[in-house]
Amino acid sequence: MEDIKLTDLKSGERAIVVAINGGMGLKRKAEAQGLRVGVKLTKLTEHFLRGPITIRINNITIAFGYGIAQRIIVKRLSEKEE
Amino acid sequence: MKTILLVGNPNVGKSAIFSRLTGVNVIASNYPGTTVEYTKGYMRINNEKVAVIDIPGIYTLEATSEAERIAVKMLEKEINDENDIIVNIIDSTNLERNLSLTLQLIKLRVPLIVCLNFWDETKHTGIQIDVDKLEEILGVPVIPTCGITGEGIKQLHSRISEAKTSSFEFEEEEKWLKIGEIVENVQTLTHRHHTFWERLGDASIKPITGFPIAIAILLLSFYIIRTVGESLIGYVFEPLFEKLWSPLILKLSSLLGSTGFVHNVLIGKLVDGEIDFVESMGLLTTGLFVPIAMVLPYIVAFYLVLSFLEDSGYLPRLGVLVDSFMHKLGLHGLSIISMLLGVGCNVPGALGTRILESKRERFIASTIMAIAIPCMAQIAMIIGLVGQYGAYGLSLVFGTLFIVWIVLGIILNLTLKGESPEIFVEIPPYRFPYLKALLKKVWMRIIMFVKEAVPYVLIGVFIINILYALHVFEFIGNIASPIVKGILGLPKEAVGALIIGFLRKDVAVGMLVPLQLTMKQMVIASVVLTMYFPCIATFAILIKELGVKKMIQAAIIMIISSLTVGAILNLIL
Repeated sequence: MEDIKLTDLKSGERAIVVAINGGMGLKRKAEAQGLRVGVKLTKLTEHFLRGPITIRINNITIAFGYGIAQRIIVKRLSEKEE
Repeated sequence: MKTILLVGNPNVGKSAIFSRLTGVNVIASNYPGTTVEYTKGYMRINNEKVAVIDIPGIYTLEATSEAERIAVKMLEKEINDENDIIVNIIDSTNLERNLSLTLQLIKLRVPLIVCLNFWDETKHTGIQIDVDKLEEILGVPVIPTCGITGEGIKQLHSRISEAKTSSFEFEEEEKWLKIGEIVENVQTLTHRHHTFWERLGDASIKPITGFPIAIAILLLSFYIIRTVGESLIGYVFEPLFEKLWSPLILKLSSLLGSTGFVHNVLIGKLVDGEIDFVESMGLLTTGLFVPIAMVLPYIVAFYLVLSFLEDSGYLPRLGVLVDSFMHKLGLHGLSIISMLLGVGCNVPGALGTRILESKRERFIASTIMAIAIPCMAQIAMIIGLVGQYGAYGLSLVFGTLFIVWIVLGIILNLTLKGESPEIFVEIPPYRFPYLKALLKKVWMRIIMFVKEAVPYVLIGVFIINILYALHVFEFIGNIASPIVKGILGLPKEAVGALIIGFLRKDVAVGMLVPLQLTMKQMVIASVVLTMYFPCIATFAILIKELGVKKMIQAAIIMIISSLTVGAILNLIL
């Protein structure tokens, strides 16, 4: 599977985080909320007009802006890889 | 004095545990960032008086927002005695993420105790945690608790003295690896089906289902607030004043000779030999009737609804839904929570803007709130007085303010340098509000209102009497006549309301009644009174939060925009 932006993942799909392209500020903030390279996530929803994205990691639901989601690179997970 | 600091991620229930330990009531809700202020209380451990401090939630000791920076500073400042203890409160349903802060706290080498809060929720989320094993690994006491119901609090209390410095060692680079190992060791997950609340949670955040749900919740909220407010007024407070209080005051009135300065201050002017609770302007008539019979019922109704929404966990979801829209105003979605708090009272609303990241956002949010969001006390008075002209008058007032809120936000966003940061927020699970905690919170807010409002209203009514007696209103009215009469189309006597509005806006709206205004004038006066300047309590908080320079800028915007909007309304209505 190829690396894609989180914005290109469809709602309901599972993926693993490959990279977070951002400054220390974003990385730290993301990590603080449990979003870091290597974790598996489910994309829950996206909003039209480049609105915010919601994801779930384990029991945590996080929402963030489209701009941030573009900088999060993920790899789709197939059923087998789970 | 020995100090206990409650430290943990946002929204893990620190405030509920704080209330349990100290008996000091603090507001606890279900969204990250409820506590933005320092709260201190005291408890006794083995007959020793100990201070307990509720630190606002932090994800990490390397702060990522203003609220976190304030919290980390508090933490650093308060740990100064080797006897001080940190109680680290953890959300048991999110062990992995919460342990990250725990490991950072361990590195501080301070006596530590860990609370596994929301313990009751682990059962239905299919999570099992081996408490003894976690205690063994971390080397500090670990106690399962449920702050809301009080489960485990006794045990926490009795084991606080066992807190100790952990001997757990790790390198910073392998932190997540270590956390992974700990979680693997102590936690077992069992598969389970999605609960009703989770499904609802997902539906209320998807645009297709989320917007209809949001509109339904908003309409239902309005309906409940109106029904509860009106019923309390119509069936409880008005009859109390009319049937019980009025005869007593009339007796006192004749005792005082029905006239004179003392009579006017205490009872005010009688209208056709009867007391008019809005117009009389006496301390014992209007001074009590306005805050208790006109405003309080709506305060009760509003905080019942707001507290329910807060505790359910809906508000951050609303924040995500309106995020794209709020960006047009230079804010992100979460600022809607501060705005809703501002509808209750602008003071907590202004404090609530601390959950926003940048100074620019906080300036925009506080300014448009102070200008265009009337507090519940003022709304109640507007409903009571403008409502007499029917729903059309009310929709003119609130519609205008809503447009002002949007337009000002857009203008500020376009003219201020910088851009608005993106939303980044944890969405808490839905929880059905725990009735006892909810009612307690509503009760606290009512007490706060009564303590704040009644004295200020009484002072306001007293000052009105003095200023009338000294003809001050007349004097200023004559000077300000070109603006008040010429631009706004109001009688010059309306200046009295504008002066008293600095002190309390509800009394100020009440002062408009004897002026016999037309609907158009009533609408303009209500809008201008909302916009032109914040009340003194909000003003004090804004100076503290924004600084004097920014507050002056905000004040200039307030005065210019209120005159502009008043003039436009005067021309087009």
